[in-house]
Amino acid sequence: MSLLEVKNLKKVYSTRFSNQQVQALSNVSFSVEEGEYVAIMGESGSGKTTLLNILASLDKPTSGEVLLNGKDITRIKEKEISQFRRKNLGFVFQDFNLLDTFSIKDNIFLPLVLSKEAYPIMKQKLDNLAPKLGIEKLLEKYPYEVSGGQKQRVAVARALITHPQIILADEPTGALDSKSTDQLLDIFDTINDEGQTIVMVTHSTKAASYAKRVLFIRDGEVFHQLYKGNQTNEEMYQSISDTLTLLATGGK
Amino acid sequence: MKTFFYPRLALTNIKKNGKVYIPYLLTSAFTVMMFYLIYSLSVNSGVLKMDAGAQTMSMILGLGVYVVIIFSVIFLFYINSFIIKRRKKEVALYNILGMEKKHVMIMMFCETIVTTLISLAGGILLGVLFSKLMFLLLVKLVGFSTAISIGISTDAIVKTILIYTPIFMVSYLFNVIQIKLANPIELLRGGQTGEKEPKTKWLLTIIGVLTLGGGYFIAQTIEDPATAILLFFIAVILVIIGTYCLFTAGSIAILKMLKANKHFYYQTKHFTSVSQLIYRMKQNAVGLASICILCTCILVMLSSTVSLYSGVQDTANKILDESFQLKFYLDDDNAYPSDKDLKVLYAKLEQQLNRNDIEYTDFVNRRYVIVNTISNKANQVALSDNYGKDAITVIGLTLDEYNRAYHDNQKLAKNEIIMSSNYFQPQKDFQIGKHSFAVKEAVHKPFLLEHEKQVAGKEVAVVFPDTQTLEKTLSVTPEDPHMNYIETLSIQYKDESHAEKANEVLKDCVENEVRQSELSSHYYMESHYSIENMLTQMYGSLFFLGIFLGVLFLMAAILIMYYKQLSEGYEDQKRFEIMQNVGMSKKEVKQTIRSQVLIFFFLPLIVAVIHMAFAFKMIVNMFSFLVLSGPEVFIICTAISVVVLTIIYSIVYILTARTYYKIVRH
Repeated sequence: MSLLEVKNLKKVYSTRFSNQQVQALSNVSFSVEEGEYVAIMGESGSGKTTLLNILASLDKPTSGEVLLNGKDITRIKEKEISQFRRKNLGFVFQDFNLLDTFSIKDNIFLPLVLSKEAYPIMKQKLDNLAPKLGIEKLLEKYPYEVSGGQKQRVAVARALITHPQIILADEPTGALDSKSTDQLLDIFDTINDEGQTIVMVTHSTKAASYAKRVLFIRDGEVFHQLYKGNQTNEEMYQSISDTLTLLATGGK
Repeated sequence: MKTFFYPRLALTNIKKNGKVYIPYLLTSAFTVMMFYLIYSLSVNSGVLKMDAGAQTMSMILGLGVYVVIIFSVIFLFYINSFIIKRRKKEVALYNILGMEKKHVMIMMFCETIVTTLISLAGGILLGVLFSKLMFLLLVKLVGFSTAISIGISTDAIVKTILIYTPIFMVSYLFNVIQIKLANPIELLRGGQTGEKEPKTKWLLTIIGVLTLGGGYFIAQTIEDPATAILLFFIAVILVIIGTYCLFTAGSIAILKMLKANKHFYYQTKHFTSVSQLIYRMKQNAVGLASICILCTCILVMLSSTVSLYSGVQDTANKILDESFQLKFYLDDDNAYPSDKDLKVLYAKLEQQLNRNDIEYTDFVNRRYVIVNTISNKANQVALSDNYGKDAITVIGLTLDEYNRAYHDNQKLAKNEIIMSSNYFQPQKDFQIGKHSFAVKEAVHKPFLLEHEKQVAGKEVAVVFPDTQTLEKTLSVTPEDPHMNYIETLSIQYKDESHAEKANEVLKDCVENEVRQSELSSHYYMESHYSIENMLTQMYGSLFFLGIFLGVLFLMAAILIMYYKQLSEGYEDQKRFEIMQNVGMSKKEVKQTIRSQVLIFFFLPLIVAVIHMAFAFKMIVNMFSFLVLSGPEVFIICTAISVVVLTIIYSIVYILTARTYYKIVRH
């Protein structure tokens, strides 16, 4: 059984003031195995953000199901959904989403505090995690005092500290310079090597070239997928570029 | 066409910023209205002509005028600074789009003119509408029946315009300076730059603790009413300083300590609240302290003026025992007014009462001396010129006078006396200075004591066997015992329903006699009726002012709260969104919001009630001068004020929390 199975996902938005309906996802099916590193690519408006929101249980699909370890997350009750998200999913956002009223340390602790963990356990978890991400010297600082790359590593730490089944990353390199992007992608590589499943939505060919598999979405459907196999990052980059060109020129 | 560009832009701006400007316009119009009301009342000819007591009233109202002006300046500036903070981004945008600062200033000037016009026109219009109502309320409270009414006061309109236009213009200048000092990028970022976590300011915290402690200490330790009035203001200033210091520095110190306590801090409930409150306190401490002070003012004003007003009857009873009192201070040889003249006068007064069908139960005249003493033991007093708290007034009269006045037939041996007291049960003997007397009898006769019902002023009446003993005992100079006597006539009506008429009749008669005969002009007339009238006027207008300013302050407190929550709500939107993304449930968000708003709202009120509790003793002390009905009335009035304020406050809290949650959830 796959860790994550997406079956016939469909999402239709209807605007409030007219009967006009917008189909964001028409029929999406794919699965993610444990320990995989999957990138989802697509142009703006292709439906990739909608897909991620549904995977994150922030949004509900019109039809279809999303199975995490065989459990349909679209049918989780409203009351349990926050707890479910906290336990099973880790999030990394484009604009970091760190809270400026918390120190770096407290930002990372936030999901654990919400799960009512005891302080010594939280501390131990952080002590294990911080050196891996190179943020052990930042812990007492505040978000406004650190750089964008550092902020994103803190966000990754916050996502990892709960040991989630899947890390969901939404354009994680979108707000970073090239050096920080490299650092972040290396970190994703490392944690993936340690067995962490990652699903990343991205525009960036470079970011996608680090992934083990790339899904291409167009007009609300999975249009194509590429496996990295034994390719180097550079070869993978080339393959992705070719596919994107094909997508853009409209080949079918 | 260019000439109309700025005014039009100004109007659009005000319309677009309605959420901010509508409450602002309402506030300023309301403030203007309050000024118009109190000013027009204080100069109203109807009010001035009312009575002798009207002077006190117009003075009290005049005081109110100053309070309203000072308050308006502070408050309007405060609200204005809120608005300009919120609009900085917009101004920056104009800057970037190519408007020079000069143009922005012209635009803002037009806005100021528009808001000033609306505030003044609205305020004065409302003022004219409500002035009649206010006038009626005032008249009702001070117990007048008058045909005079209140119209539109040109004087008040002119004064209102003259006072408020400069206030609005100066706040415009303040805005201009703010805009001038900032550059567009700074303006555009506005509040977005990450704020530093506030540091604990220990010095300020300590100053706060000391000043507040000092204020409380003064309030608790003062015993003497005279010192209380003087020190009250010192205590008030200390408490105000302490409140501001503790809200700004003390709150952060406490929150930081909570944060340092890992077991407490890293709990779901406390985690978000504590960390956010630290930032919020930094921004809002001054506002909260102001609200706290305002609430304290409301409580003090309402409770004290209500208890003054409700104690009028009681106080009047204690100031004067009898319905009507006529007092002559006899001249040096105690010859004038002569017995004969007095006898004629008394006969005429009785005659007048009978002629006018005024029934009376007592008609007593007696001649006595008054000396001041202090007491060492219960049955011992010594002559003194100390008029402090322990002073005891001794009223001395001779046996002949006593037997005559009270139609009695007592006999006294040389060292015997008859006694009466309002504060202790006379014992076997009584010592005045070095003279010891055996107490033959303890009596209670009407008006033998000057203030039988008053507990605060201790009195003893002593009936001596003869004049010689009296003068020898009570004179400060025993070698030349010569004393000035007082002749007092006391009349008690059967009921007070004819009091007004009786007063008039008696007053006319006395004045007539004094003019015609050789009666001394050193006389004083006092009546229960006129005292009650005077007190009603004075305390009634104070009560009116208490309600008036209470409403004004309450409005201020509510508005500060509204503006705070409004700006907080927008700032917190993003924060709560992130928390939900990270896995905070809607329920938890709601809880966090509730506890935060709860602390925010009720902290000032709770501190205000604590202030009130500490001030209590001092206020009771000060009031022992003004109200003689004791602290019970004041306790009840305070309790009622607290309950009423809490109810109004809670309603505003519920509304605000709901709006806030709506903004955040968006």
